[in-house]
Amino acid sequence: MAATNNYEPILSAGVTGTVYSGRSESLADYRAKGGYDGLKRALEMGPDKVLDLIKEANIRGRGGAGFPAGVKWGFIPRNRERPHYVCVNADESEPGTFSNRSLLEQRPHLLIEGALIAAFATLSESVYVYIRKEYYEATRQMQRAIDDARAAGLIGKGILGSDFNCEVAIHLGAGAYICGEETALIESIEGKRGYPRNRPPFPAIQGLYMSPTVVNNIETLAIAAEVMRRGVEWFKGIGTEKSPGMTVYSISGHVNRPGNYELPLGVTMRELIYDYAGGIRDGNKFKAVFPGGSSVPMLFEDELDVVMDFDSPRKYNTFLGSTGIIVMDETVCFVWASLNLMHFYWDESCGQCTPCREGTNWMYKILKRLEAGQGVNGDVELLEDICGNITSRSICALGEFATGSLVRTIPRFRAEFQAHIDQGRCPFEKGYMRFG
Amino acid sequence: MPELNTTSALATNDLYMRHRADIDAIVARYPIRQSALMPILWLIQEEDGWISDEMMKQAAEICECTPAEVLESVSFYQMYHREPVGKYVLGICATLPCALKAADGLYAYLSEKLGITWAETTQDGLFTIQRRECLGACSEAPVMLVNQELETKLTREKIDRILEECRQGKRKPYFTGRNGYRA
Repeated sequence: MAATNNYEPILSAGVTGTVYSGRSESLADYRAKGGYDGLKRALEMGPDKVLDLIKEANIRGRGGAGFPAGVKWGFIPRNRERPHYVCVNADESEPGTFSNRSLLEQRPHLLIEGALIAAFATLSESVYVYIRKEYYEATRQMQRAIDDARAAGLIGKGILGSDFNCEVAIHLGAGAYICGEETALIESIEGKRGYPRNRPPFPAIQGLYMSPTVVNNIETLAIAAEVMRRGVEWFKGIGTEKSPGMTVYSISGHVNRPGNYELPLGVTMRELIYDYAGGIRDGNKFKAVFPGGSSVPMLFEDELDVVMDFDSPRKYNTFLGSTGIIVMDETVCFVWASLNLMHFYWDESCGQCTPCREGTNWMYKILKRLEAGQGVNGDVELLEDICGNITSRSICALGEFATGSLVRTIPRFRAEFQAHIDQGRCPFEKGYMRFG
Repeated sequence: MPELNTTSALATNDLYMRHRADIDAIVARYPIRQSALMPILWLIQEEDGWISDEMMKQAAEICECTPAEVLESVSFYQMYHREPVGKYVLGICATLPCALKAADGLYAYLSEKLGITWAETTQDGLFTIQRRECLGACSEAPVMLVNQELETKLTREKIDRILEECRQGKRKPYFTGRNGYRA
């Protein structure tokens, strides 16, 4: 095991298991561990110095894009001609990603503190926490934490005796993957369909209610709270030079110990799968892995030593994404797996842009006939052609995400795709579909 | 924050009159009225289990938008129901991480046991099966939501037990009904 084996979890300190089992950190417990000291320090420093500090820390956004939070906050005008808003993206919906769930359910105050610091630094007095409706327990725990924080003078008017006022409210989704995209999330809070907006203007200039708006993932905000409390030097001492800090990797699929693993950025994929998640189930052979949710291209056996930071996966034309790692063993059929995911993107495409709406529909139809043994020669090449034509041609990236299971897989496993046509059936037994 | 003018327009709005305190609190959270739409739709669905055309019109009135705009949202967001559902909504996670752990077989088992397929409700009005996309609990696969409760690492035995608990009324129904739950 690498330099990561003595790492003690910070963000997920005290978190047990993926799903709530009756234990959520109380306000008293959180404060006893120094909770809200970061906010106190921020209030003493003033918004400009907080912004400088977060910029210096180089906290790259944990929601998938890796864009530095300080830079994002810095785009917000330094006046208050219009009200400013902070939206917390807790719409965790990327297949294979379940780290935000644990933090929401078990450490809600850490997220509230981070959101308040973001609001203070960006001259905002309003925070909306956008939680997907399916996260019922997370919503209960977050609402309880908001109520407790308000009763303790941490939310509302004159926070901690300062002149900083800030309200925090939950806005619930209703089952739409696209609302994790920041402009769709904004539309949704405005009471509309989650249609992504064209940029520019960026949300920092015209976001929620046409006002300057910051949208951050909850893990990014949790890190901001820790950085305010522990300092920039502490943060930069973890992870790699260009990807400082830690993240929570969610590992699922055919491994022996699936779960959330908080580690410094810079651990390798091989270490994650074999040292932390206990290797492949039933002594089976590894086949492929999605490194950052189902929307990024897969990695294969000879690529597992890739360092899982923001930049290294790019050399294989894939991304760290949501750090939702889905592992597949040798028994998995790629056509079947792609079909499963294509149903997801076909279902979740908002329908606004033609390449994405029609492209996901075409790919879904082709994969359905391939898996049913009714594919025709040329179908595999047609899939590749659509992948090339869907990317970068729509308002948001959903169409491109839909190609994640195909773009690197078809060139390397063309024979497996073609075999579905040549044999007129799926050649895999797919024992993993049997429900015991 | 805009005050609701209840003496005129909304005095005949049954939805508003039934949930005045809740709706006032929702409206107060946002600077514009239409932002209250999604939470108000949830309020309707928690009471009725689904959202009828009439409820959409009443919600439109409260949110100062058109019924067409309400229908846009109700049809866009997959968790809003446009027809009645069972007392227990079984939302099976069908996306890849669960599918790698037998989600297809789980669906087949439930479907055969209850004699219904996706989005259908049993004749006794007890169960609806829904296909849900990734529920974000992939390490615990296969999973499903039974109304608001997440059930993890499902087996045949667990499914049998859950269905039995529902039949015996040991679990909270999906919706409350206008005057408490109507069976």
